[in-house]
Amino acid sequence: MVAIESPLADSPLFSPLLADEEFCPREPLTVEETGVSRVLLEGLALKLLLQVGSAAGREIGRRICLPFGLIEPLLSDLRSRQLMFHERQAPLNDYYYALTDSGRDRALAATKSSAYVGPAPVPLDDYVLSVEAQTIRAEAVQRDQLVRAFADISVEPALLDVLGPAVNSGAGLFLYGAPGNGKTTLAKRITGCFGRNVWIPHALIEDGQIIKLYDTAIHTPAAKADDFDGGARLTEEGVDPRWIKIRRPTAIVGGELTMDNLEIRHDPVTNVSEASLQLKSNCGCLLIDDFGRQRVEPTELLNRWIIPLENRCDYLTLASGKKIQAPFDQLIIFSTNLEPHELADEAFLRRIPYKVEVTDPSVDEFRTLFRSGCEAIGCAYRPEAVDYLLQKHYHPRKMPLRRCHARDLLMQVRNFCAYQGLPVELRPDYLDRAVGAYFTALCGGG
Amino acid sequence: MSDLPQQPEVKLPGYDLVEKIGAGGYGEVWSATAPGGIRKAVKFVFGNEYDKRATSEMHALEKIKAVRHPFLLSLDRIEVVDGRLIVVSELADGSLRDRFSECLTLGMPGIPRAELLGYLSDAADALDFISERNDLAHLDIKPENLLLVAGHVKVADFGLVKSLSNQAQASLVGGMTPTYAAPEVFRGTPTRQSDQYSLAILYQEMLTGALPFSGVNAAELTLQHMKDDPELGYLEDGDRFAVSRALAKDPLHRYESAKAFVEALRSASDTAPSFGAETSTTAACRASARPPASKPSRHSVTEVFEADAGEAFGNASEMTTMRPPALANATPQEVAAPVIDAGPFAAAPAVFIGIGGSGARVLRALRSQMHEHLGATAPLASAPMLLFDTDAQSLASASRGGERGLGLDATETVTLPLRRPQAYREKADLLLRWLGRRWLYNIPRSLQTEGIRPLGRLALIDHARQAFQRLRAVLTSAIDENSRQASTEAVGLPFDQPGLRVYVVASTAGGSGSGMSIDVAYAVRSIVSRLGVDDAKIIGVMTHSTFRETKRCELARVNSYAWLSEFEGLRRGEEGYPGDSGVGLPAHEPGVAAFDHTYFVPLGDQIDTPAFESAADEIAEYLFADAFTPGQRLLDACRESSDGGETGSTLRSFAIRSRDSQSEAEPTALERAALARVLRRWAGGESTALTPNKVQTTDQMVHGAVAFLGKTQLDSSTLASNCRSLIEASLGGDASAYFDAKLHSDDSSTLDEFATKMDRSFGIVNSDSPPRQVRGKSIESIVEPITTRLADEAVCWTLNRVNDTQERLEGASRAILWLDDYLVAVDGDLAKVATNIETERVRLTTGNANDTRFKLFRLRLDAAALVAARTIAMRLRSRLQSLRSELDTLRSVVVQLDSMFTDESEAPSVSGEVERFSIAVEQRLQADYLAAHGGLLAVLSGETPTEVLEAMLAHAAQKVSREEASTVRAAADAALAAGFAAPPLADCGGVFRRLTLEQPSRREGLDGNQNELLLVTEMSGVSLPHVAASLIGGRRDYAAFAERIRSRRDIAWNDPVISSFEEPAKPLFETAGSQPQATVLIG
Repeated sequence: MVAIESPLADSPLFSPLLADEEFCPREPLTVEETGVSRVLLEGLALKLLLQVGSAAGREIGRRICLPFGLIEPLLSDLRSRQLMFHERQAPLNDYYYALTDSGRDRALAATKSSAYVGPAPVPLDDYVLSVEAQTIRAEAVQRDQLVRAFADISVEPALLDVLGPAVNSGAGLFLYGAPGNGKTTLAKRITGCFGRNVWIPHALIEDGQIIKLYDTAIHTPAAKADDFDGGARLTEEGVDPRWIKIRRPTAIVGGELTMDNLEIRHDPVTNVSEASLQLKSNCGCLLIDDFGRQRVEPTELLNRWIIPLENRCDYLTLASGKKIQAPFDQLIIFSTNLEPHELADEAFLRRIPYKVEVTDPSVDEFRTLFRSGCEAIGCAYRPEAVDYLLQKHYHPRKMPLRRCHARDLLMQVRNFCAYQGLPVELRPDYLDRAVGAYFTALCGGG
Repeated sequence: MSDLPQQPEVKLPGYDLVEKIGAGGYGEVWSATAPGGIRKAVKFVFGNEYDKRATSEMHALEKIKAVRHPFLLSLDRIEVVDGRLIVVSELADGSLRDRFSECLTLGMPGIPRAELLGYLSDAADALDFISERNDLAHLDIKPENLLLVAGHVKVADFGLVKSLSNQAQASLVGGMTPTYAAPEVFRGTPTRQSDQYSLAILYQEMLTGALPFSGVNAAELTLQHMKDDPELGYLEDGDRFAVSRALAKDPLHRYESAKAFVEALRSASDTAPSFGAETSTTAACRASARPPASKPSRHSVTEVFEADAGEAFGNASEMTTMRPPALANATPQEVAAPVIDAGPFAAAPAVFIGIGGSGARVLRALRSQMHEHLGATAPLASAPMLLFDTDAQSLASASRGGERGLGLDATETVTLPLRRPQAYREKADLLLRWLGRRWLYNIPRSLQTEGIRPLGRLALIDHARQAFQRLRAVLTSAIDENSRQASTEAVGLPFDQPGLRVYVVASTAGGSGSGMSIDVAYAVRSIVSRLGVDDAKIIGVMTHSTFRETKRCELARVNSYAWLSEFEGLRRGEEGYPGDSGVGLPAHEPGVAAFDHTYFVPLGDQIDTPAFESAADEIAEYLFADAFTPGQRLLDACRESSDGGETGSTLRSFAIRSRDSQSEAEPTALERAALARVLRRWAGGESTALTPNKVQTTDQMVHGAVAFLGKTQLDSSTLASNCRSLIEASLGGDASAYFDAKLHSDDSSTLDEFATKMDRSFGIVNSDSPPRQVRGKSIESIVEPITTRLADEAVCWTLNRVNDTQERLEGASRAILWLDDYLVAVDGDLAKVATNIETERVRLTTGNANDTRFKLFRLRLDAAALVAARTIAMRLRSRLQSLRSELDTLRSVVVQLDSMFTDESEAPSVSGEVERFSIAVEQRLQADYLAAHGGLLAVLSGETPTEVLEAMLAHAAQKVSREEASTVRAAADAALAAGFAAPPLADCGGVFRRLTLEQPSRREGLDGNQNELLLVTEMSGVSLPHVAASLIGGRRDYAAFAERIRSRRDIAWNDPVISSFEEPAKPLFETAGSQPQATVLIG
């Protein structure tokens, strides 16, 4: 982060010089500059009023994400065409608007053609440019950033050095290894390395089709509470309100992934489309967790990625049947407990240049995990407890160590103690009980 | 309060005036109800805000307003309302004068001593405080100005407060109250002890009701303060010593502080002070004077704290500023202009390349110069222009009038538009090698550079093919033989000089000029060398200016800084100019600068459009002179001369001024009103206001009166003794020798007989009448030399006031009145002495001894001298009388002029704007015309016809209104009335030459065949790092911003400006530098 304290920093003209973002959508000053047709914007305003009854001009502007300076003439035009009327005065030289009867008809007609109400869309073209501007490949992660992102979890330094270049490739990454060793945790952390935020539009428009992009399940608005500066910038003047600043997204999908998720989904009733998973995870990470457990055949899924990975762009089909070219700019991580070669052939593996194996922890690391686990649940750590576990349970049954074991076993101990009303302690009998319950379930009696 | 006596016409919103509580020479004071019902005192200063009284009060308030002391009247507001200065302060119960009157009505002689000493002690406290802590003197201490609040004194009325350490001019004292002013105040050199003197007079007056100096007019009081001993008889013995010491004529003989004086009064016992008592008193005073200074009062504690804070801040600022190493000669030195031989002049082909808005403006101006001076109506093939800009609109306006030769031809412009970011997508990889991602994807919707340098370069590189092709075509055709011939035929100027001159004109402050110019210059260099032109000169004229908008202004500074540091980095860096392989720009060796001669010309900071345009015109004039006139040789000789040339990190610069005739036009209403105002000020108002009896009030004093008296020795005793020496000289030099000779030849037996004889020789008929002649010569003729000399001096002194911008005719009248008063006083003095002598002579009727006779003779001689002195005084007064009528004649001239500018229809209202403008006009008149013609006096009394005077006035007014457009220029002009402009880059070292170039003129209507003169101040050897650092005020954060707006990021810019300073700024520049580093990894 470059932070230069200076009076200049307040100057709007210098803010692009100072901002860390390399891209910042500028506020449109005219309807033309929005790149969206006037009729569509009017329709949005009418539909909004159809929903809410009446609203002040500023509120309308806020809801459909247009600056007041732009929405105000739009509204007064609608009023002069007798589609809206001034209900009453609102503060700051504003009015409450409501629909006239003909306005209501117009709004209903608009709803019929598309039920979308919400932030005004941004032309696909602008979005494509924003992705290029904020491409994840422009972010070179360095070792100390990685170390910082993984500071609170146990990662071997050697693994970091493999991960770093893989992350920087901005292409694809296979994380494989036995289950329970923290592949998912690792993958989630990787996006944390990309420190910066990105701007994305709430919705896109192409060929009159509105595609909802912003998805609260995947996108986290940047810094509402924890970062004052970011919070201030959200309301910053001069920024197009149709865009929202978010953390670089990480989309995680597990076994529920279907091929459907990877296409633009169109709702014929509302005539609104939902962006595909790849679009939503642009400029960030897409994590396919538990790869191989999807209902779709792994090969089928992988084949879906071949072209995007090769060309860095994806071809999506709109409801109208039009194919659009959308950027594919993300780090795609496949996390699997299967061996890569079991899943894919060479042609595919060639396109995922990095394969990182996550191995079982060493005994020392296992101890460390135990100790931090104890701290987390608030009981005293006793090294002999680990020795006892190893001697009593792991070695005789030749069970491999897994990173999740420490946490899971301690959880069992804690739950047991809580149930019995006993203080949480690392006592052998508690551990025996935990192992019994945990491994029986886990290993199927093995 | 319905019968308010003449409320001031100006109202202060929120304040309701209650009653008038005082008035003086400077204004009047009203009590008022302030918002919230608080009672305040409101002072209305006479005259509008530009009046001498108001400005001096304003200055004084500036000095005092920061001072806080419990015994100083606190000021609430200082405001100018409708041109009148208004001061709101706390309201006191009354003044010391009121208290005094109260005591008188109670039957006391004055304020009781103990009470008075308490007041005095408070006042002394405050006065010592302002003099010790703030180095100020009040200079108007009088009973009216010591206000009483709850039994304590508050010193008020700071209208005359003066800084003691900063006395540039003796005449700075703006006014005085003659009754209380110390002699040094009359002389205009107040000291720390001046207030003490006033306090002493005040003490005696308030205690006893009698003043130590009893003069009735200012002139008399001046004399008494300067010469006479104070009359202290009313004081008790104990006080007498202290007061007389405080009233010492020499400030050094007074007490060290006012407090010491009050202490001395306090400790004065009933016993008459002996010498011993004096020393002990003094010692006591000294001892008691110390503690306040050494005691750590609350104020001093605060001060210590603030000093610490200031120091901490100082350290902080040291971290964030770049301190250039001091230059051996920071101020530009003047060196002699080179001598060149005159010969027939032939021009070389010259190509003018403009970039961006500033370039456009200059080229357009140059084209109209070519039209004007050369008569070119179309572009000259050998002097083509090429204008690059991202803004098609600005190009269009540059080519307006092109078909008439007044603007650029449309073919001479090249639009290099920025495109939407999407349009660069295909080239993005190539562009992102050198262009920051943030710029490429944030191209403003306006598709203008908006001052972003990298975008300027983007526009050029994006259209590189087109741009460089045009450049090549223009350069090729300029040196073509056919072009030369065609150009010569077109304008009659031979274009057969070999070589090629290429001028690149751009602003370093904007986006296009700053971003493109370096690449364009190197491209020109490559093209020229490929064309095989050996002696081509590439001259860069880089301008820097900022507009009114502050935000843009900051960016402009940083842009210029970035440009300078890039220019220097490429010239001095180890890599040289790397070219741009993406667009086929060849690289250049290290050490090759973009330009052969690099001019950096500041056009002015925060200038408006007219000022910018006139600055651009000046640059065009320079370019014209350098390309098409014989002045080229002179300028080239300057460039070739070795001193401080282009060695090291240096720049050249220039400033020019042309002497041109200006078109006359009918003066505007404002101009007329201002001129009328000027003239009315000259004439002076109603002279009846100058009643000389206001000795108790603060009034404007006659400046230099005391100096005049000192110089002319025009006081009664010196005058008499001077007369006497002249009379003695007429007796042969030695009066006693003459007497002895007389006595020997004398045979009279009685004293009477002798006296009668002697009287005859003094021309005395009746023994009671005064002497009329000495040795047959009339006394008047004997002292004629003195009369003549004094009359001359008096005339000179009074009339020279007319030339003084502050005085004019009114001042002269005032001086005459004052001198007349003074002469009356002198005459009175002399008459008194004469009466005494006469009395003594009458007593000398007995005794016939020689010494009695001699005494009688001496008395007659003295009487003769006195007669002579009185004659002189009378003659001077009659001379003054005639002066007044002369002044009236002059005044009539002025009044006549006035009538020419005053419309009957216009009400003679003097608004603030007119006043301000009129002052500017008067300054302009003084500088341009009056000073050159021997002052207003000479102009008015000379044979100058009224029409000429009228034209002169109108011209000055027009000039001012033209310059009003740019205060920057006006200031520069005022500083340099002489003609040459000051070196444009001050404090950055270097040398300058003053060159006078002739501009051939084809303009009609100019007097005769006179050529226009161009006065050029040509600078060289200006330190580039210093210029760069001064642009950004030496701020490191700005230098860090400059890193962010580098025109390209594929060059490791090692900021040469910073590295040229001793201390490279490590911490800040690591952060700034990390940006390019990171991108190299990706790119």
